[in-house]
Amino acid sequence: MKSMQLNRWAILPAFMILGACSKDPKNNTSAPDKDKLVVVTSISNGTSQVSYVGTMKDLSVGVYNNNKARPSSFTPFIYTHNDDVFVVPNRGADILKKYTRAGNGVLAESGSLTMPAASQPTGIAFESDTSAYCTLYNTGVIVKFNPTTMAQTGTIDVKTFAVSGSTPNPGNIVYQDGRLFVAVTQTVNGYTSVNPAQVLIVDLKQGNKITSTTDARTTWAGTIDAPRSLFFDEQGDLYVNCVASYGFVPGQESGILRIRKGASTFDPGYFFPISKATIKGLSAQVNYFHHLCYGGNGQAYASGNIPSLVSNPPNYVTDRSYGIFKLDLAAKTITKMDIPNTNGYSGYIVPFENKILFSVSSATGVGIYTFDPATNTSSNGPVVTTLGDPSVVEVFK
Amino acid sequence: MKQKWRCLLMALCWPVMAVAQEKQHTREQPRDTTGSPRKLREVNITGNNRTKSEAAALKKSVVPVTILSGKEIENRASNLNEMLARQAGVQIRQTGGLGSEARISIRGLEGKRVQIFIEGNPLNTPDGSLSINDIPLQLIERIEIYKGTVPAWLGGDGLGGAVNIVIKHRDISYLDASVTRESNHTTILSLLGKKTFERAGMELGAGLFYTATENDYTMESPYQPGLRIKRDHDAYQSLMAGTSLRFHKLWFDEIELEGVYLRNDKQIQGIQRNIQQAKNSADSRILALNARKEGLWHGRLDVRYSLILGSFTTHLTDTSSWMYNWDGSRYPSILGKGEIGTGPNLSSNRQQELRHRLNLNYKLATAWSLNLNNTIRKAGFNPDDSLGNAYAGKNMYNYPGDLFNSVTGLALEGAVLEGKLLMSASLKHYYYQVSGYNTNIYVIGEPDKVSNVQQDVGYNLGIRYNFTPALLVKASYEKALRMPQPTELFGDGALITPAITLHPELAHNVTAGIFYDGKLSDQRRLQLESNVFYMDVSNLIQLAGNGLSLGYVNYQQARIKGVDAEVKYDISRDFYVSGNATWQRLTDAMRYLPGSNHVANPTYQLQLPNIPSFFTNWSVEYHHDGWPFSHSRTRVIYEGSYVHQYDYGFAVSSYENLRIPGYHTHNLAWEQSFRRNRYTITAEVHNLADAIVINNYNNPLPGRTWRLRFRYLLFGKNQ
Repeated sequence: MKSMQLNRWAILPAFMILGACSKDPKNNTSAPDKDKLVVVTSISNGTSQVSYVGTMKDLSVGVYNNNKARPSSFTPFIYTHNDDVFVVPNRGADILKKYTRAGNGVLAESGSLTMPAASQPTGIAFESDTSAYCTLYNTGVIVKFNPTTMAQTGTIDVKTFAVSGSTPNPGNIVYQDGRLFVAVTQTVNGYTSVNPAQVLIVDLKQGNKITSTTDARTTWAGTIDAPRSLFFDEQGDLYVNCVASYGFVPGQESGILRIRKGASTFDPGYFFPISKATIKGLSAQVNYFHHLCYGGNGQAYASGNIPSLVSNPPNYVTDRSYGIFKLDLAAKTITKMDIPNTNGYSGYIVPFENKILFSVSSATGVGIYTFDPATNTSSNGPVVTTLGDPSVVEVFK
Repeated sequence: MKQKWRCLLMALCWPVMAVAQEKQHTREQPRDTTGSPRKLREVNITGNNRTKSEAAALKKSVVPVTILSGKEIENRASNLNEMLARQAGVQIRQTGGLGSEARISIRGLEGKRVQIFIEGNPLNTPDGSLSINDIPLQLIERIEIYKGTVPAWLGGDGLGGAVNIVIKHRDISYLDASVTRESNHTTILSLLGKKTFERAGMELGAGLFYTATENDYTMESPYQPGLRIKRDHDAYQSLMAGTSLRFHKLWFDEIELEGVYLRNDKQIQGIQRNIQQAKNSADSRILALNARKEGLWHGRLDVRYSLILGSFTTHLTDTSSWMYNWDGSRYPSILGKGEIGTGPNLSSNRQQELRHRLNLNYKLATAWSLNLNNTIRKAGFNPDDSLGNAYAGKNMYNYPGDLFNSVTGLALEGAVLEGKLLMSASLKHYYYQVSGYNTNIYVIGEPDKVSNVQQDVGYNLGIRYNFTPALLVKASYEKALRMPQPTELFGDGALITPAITLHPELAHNVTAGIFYDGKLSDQRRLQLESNVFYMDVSNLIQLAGNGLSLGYVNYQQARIKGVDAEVKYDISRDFYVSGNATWQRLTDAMRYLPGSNHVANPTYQLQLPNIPSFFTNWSVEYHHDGWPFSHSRTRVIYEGSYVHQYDYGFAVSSYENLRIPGYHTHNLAWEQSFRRNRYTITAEVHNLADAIVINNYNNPLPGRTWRLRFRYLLFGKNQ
């Protein structure tokens, strides 16, 4: 009975596993001698669940193994800043770790910050080289810290915005022009919410004054395991992927909301509905986008769950129900891409050197697939094969 | 009211009172020169000859088996798990102190894959209701640990490992009472008695066993560096009461009716989060009828029969409005209510069972026999959590299920070459049928009722050859199956979805061993045993997820190879040494990823994580009779153990920060008995060096513990 409960609890980290699209619409480039990509692979065998965080030079490596990778709690969230990799432990640990790329696939330990017990650190936003913010999902606090020294320098308490329970569940967080945008999910069970999508805006220049904006057209702002769920386009407008309780609550509609640059409320004129959308190249529907990543020029890329591909009852090792999609944010169109479906532990998306990278765990290949927007072509198979499900592929910014 | 209580007290104490009367009679008996009563039946003190001969026969059977005698452990201030953990090939994977989850691992396969039997009847109770550790040591005649091949007359499933506990049956009146005090505020009380009525051929027995512990040891937090936590929500209480009525002068050689009640209460100790309110409890009621008749059909047929009715109710109470920090401060629950899971729970899950076991043993010829064993289990599951449902806003938990399974085994065993060559072959048929509701979270509205029927056949073959009476070799092969358990089939109604279509786990096991048991002189006896084993297991049922929800699936395949060795040596009349060592390697045998025929599995042929690969135990015992008084007995035992470090994850990285550290532990025990074991005082210290012991990742176990036990054992006269 006890184990049953703990097992149920243990599922929740899976929510946070996957993730990712670009917060920076520009192509990422890195110093030529340094590894350019961060890779997280996750291996579970039922009795152990371990992820491995490492770096690789670029896509030319062909095969990526975990030999030099750092073992981590299962499916951590990854943030990069300068040469540093910040490993957010998900539910499996309390310590935020910092590594620095040392070249040739090596990550050197360069600091850590112990968060409150079971606080579930989730998102990080960097204000500068000496100031960053980390949301604590379970305690309703945003920790301010120095990413260089990894010293805590303050906190921002958002508990008063909790609709029920004691925390509004701050998750994804992004920074723009002295303001933090914090997606709060307002859940009490960890996987559903009955409240409107909500973003808190913290004005750092006005003494951390917090304003809140909600939008009842959808639910659950952000995807806690997908750091790129909130992104800015070239105009500085903020787009927010809302997963609508991951499809668990009938009637809720997932979609994308927008906050215009400089505004403090959702744009009432914009909503990109997902769960009822007709998708080109797919006869079925998607109930939410797990990862959503901006690729530039109004184009976004996503991995989303296709419920009709889930076995009944689900087969958790053979079901690959997450499809890969291309979106036109202005025209609100979705097109199924020619990349294999993946399981839920992969599907991370990131722009890299004029290409879009997709982490995929499919029946035909496991690794990093690419899409070239210039030629509108996808790779036939993984350009880099990984050992273990690639839950994150990130770039150094 | 007073009268009622007096009656109740008399009923409970009847065996005590009856034996006390025997005590009076005993005192009147003439004494021998040492002052001890002549009529005490020493031969029966640790069991009757029948069970001893059964144990000896088992050691010489074709199956690889380790036998732990109740005589060796009955006076120890230890528990059964601790005794099992010292055997070759066996590990106990614990998450905490007394009452915590503990999985028996035999040759690397653990938990549900190791079947537990009590007197040949599968335990198979819901998690938390009855564990092997609830059985007091003084009740045990012997423990049979089967490794690799499980005889067909044990009518359960499993992947080649099993533990059968044989309960002691003394045929005289006795009273056995003990009290144990241990570190971490642990108290264990035991009262056991039997009254025999020889003329009527009747025996009436009763027992009462109580365990209470705070488990309040201090641990280093695995999550917060530098934080030392005194566990303060890990209390455990267990009360077991049982009675039995046995006849041995009816048509049956023996027929017995037993009733057992067991109550457990267990707080839930947090490791990452400070849990202060959530707890589990369980009520179990068992009624059993056991009968034995030998010599039917011209003296060739022996019959054993068991019928068991069980009712097991488990509860989870998790309704706290608060959550707690490690400094004791509290804050409103982030779940609204509840400290664990996805919301509050106030569940009452009732499981009612009917089990039967029929065993027929037919002597075909002097050295040949045919054995037919059939077990049937019919169980109904009725979970109820109205609070959880109300909070979830829908029926998440109240979905009943039914299970019916049957295991039938037919074994032929015979000896040739004047008994030197023993051969055995058996077939097992497994059948199971389950029905329940598909409470898949993706389903909107009422879930469908679903069912599944499966059957399969297993078999085993074995030989044993005696080169000399002291030296023998054994070899056996078994195709073994494990049926899916209800928790795996039905899920939890929430994020663990049902998996009604699960297939049985499958194992092909090969074991070969050599055994020597010889007397080197009158006082020196040497026993040596070594086994090599190879197991190919597939369809392993494990919890998996898709990123959103979880469920059990048939997934992993593994190969297991290893060797174990054991030596026991009576150096002299007073000194005895023993030691064993096990090396095992479990590797991933899945070449390709599930659902693919060409995408390589990245962990193929790598060692499976979170399973120790090398461990060893050793002991030195001094025993002496006649000190400080005649009919006194002294035992001083030193025990050591070593478990080599192992990894929590696959060894794919050159970094090792997920390593479970190896550990040495040393125990010291002193047993002092007086007046032919009538009074025994036992003092023990476990983990003398206070080593940090972890055998489940991130679950620190208690350090050094002290134990003091007093036992009073009185036998009645022979009637």
